[in-house]
Amino acid sequence: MSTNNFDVKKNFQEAIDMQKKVLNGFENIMNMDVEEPGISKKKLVYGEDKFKLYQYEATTKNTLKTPVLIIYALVNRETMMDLQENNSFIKNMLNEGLDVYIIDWGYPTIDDKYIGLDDYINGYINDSVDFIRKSSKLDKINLLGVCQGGTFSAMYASIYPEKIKNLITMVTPIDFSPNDALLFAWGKHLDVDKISDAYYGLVPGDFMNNAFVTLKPMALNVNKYLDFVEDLDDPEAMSNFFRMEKWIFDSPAQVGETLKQFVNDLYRDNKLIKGEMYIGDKKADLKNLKMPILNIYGENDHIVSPESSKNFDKYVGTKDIETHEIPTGHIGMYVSSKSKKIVAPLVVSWLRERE
Amino acid sequence: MNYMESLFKMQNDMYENLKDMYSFNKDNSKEDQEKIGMEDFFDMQKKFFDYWGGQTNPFNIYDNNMKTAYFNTDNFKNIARMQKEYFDKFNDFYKNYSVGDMKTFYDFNSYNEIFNKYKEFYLGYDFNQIFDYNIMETLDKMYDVNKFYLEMYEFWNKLNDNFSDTMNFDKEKFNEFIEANGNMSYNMLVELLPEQFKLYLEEPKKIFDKYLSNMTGFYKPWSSDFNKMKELYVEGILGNDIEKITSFFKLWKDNYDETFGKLINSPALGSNKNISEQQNKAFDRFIDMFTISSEFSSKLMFIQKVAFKKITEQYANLSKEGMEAKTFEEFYNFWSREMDKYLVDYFGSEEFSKILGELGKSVMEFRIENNKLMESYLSETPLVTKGELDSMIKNVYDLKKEVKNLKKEIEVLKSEKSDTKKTKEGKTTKDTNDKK
Repeated sequence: MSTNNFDVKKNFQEAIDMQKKVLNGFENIMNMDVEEPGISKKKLVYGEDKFKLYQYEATTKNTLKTPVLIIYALVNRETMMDLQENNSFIKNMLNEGLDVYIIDWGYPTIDDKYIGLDDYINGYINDSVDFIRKSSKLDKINLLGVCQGGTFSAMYASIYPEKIKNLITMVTPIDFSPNDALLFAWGKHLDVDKISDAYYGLVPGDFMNNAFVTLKPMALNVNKYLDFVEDLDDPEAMSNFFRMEKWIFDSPAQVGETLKQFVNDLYRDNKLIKGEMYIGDKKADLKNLKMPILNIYGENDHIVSPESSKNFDKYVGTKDIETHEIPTGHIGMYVSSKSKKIVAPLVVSWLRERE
Repeated sequence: MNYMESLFKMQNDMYENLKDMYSFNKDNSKEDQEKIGMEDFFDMQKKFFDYWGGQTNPFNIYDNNMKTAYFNTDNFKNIARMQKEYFDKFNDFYKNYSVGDMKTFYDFNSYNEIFNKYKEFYLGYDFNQIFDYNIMETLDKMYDVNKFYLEMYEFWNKLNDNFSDTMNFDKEKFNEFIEANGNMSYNMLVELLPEQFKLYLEEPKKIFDKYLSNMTGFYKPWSSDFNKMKELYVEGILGNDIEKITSFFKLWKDNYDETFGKLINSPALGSNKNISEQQNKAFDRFIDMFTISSEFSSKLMFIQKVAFKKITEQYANLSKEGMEAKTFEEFYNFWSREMDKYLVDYFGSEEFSKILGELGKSVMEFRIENNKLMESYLSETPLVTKGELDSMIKNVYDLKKEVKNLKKEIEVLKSEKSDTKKTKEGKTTKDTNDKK
């Protein structure tokens, strides 16, 4: 028979502590004031249909002349980059003196069902870039793409290289062949045409949410909420948790037309690295990427396979490409202490060197 | 009466009231130790208060001080004795106060006992004991309990086969006999009937034969595969054989497609033809979805079962090495972390990706056909459906795109015109200046 190592006293103490936390948390929840994600001030400068282009208000005197346009994914909201006061990637960039623009894709509805990748890339992104070039009186601007927005940015910059000075891709899938992240394995067998048709061309955000929480079933469906109990007596931690929770489930619907091309051409056929990707009638050839490129990916990213991002340098037309692996996950890239200490300074210093 | 005397009197009254409240009928409780203990306790309390009252009464203090101008050791001893007696009685009272076999209160020396009971209670949850490596054999038997049913099934199946083999011979003979007997009776009867009546017997017999033949043909895939399906299902479920589960659902679906599927998908008639056909189509897709989701659930349950067993083994090994969890939290963290690993490993497999793809496709196909059915039902109502909006949405999209392109063209033309104008103005100014 084994020896008895069960620590009764510690268990008792943990049970008592937990009850105290729950009781304190009750009052905290009653008085909880959860702020909307997106804390930095910004103004609307341009827009078409449901998409809007914002420019952030400078928090310091601009030290870099060339503006940066951030292109976020169509999945979830760009507010993740500016989620909370003490952990905002945008704020860190502004404090370092960057002139930052961001695209808000909005919440598509059924009347947007025919909007395709062509409209997003040759339309909205191109119009935004032209607007910024015109208003800043510059021929070229900097482009920073995040996740799917990074793939969009790479495709855009390969079609319009004359408009982009520097390209930054963060947690961006480029090579869709690896299967070490579940979405990549599933995407190859997904009949996205049927999904789009079944939802009349507009796939609900909840459909995507359910897929995302299945990527780590225990951690994202159970443990996350158990861990939350640990923070019940800490109003600030609770506020941060609720803000993150709000962001996670604030998922816009996906336009079927775009989703179909993205999944079929990339997840299934991996056309981008094969040089076979077309956006409308324009070929997105990565060899056209001759501008300096900074590629950053997360070591523990469970959404975008690190393998998918890390070999970007093999497919581009420039040797001035830096690849950095950050010891964090997909979201941690923007809302962790590493984001503040490593990621934001890396981006700013890299841009400053190339200004 | 001065203030202190009033206070002591009040305390004394309180004590008397309290004593009245808890007083016992001595006739009925002479042997009751706990009650005696309680009365003793109250008596001692009274003595204690009386003595304390006496000693702290300023008049008495004054008198005592006048009599003995030094520390009174007798008084101190009395106080100490009274305190000891007070706590002894208090202790006795709680010691004797009991309800049945369960002590409500424990004497002061018994707190260790309480702690031990508490500890004993929690030790029931000691995962070290629950997952002791030595009980793995028992756990294995628990996990493999379904194999017992499988063996039972195989035993009865064999018995049934042997029995059926014997019966098959007789059954064939019996069928031959029935058929021969039927033909003989029929032929005899037909031969005896007048010619004009033969039609009324011969034609219904042909219809009946045809009906029998159709039904036999219709159900043939099911009847011929019945034993195979039974084996695949039972051996798949009870024998934890995922391949057999997959084969069972595939065979079921093949047979459905050969029989009811064809029936369901055959053309309908009448004014509701379209709706009827759509209903059948939606039902057919529902069956597809049901079959695949059953297979999906079976596989997932199987994986969870295997993961459960492996994690238990892992924990038992940790326990053997003395590295088991010390708290509930540690145990839960270990369990959930390992379960997540097993599930994510399986979710990333080609097998899961394929069946997830098939499940997704079948769910969406059912949804598409069901949506069409709903739209058919709604077509006679004033409600506009998404399908009906589609052409309008497409038109608006095309028009918006055209307008955007035209706007851009206008901007370019304006810009070119402006450039040309500026060039011309510049040239005119230059010419004028030259002339000057």
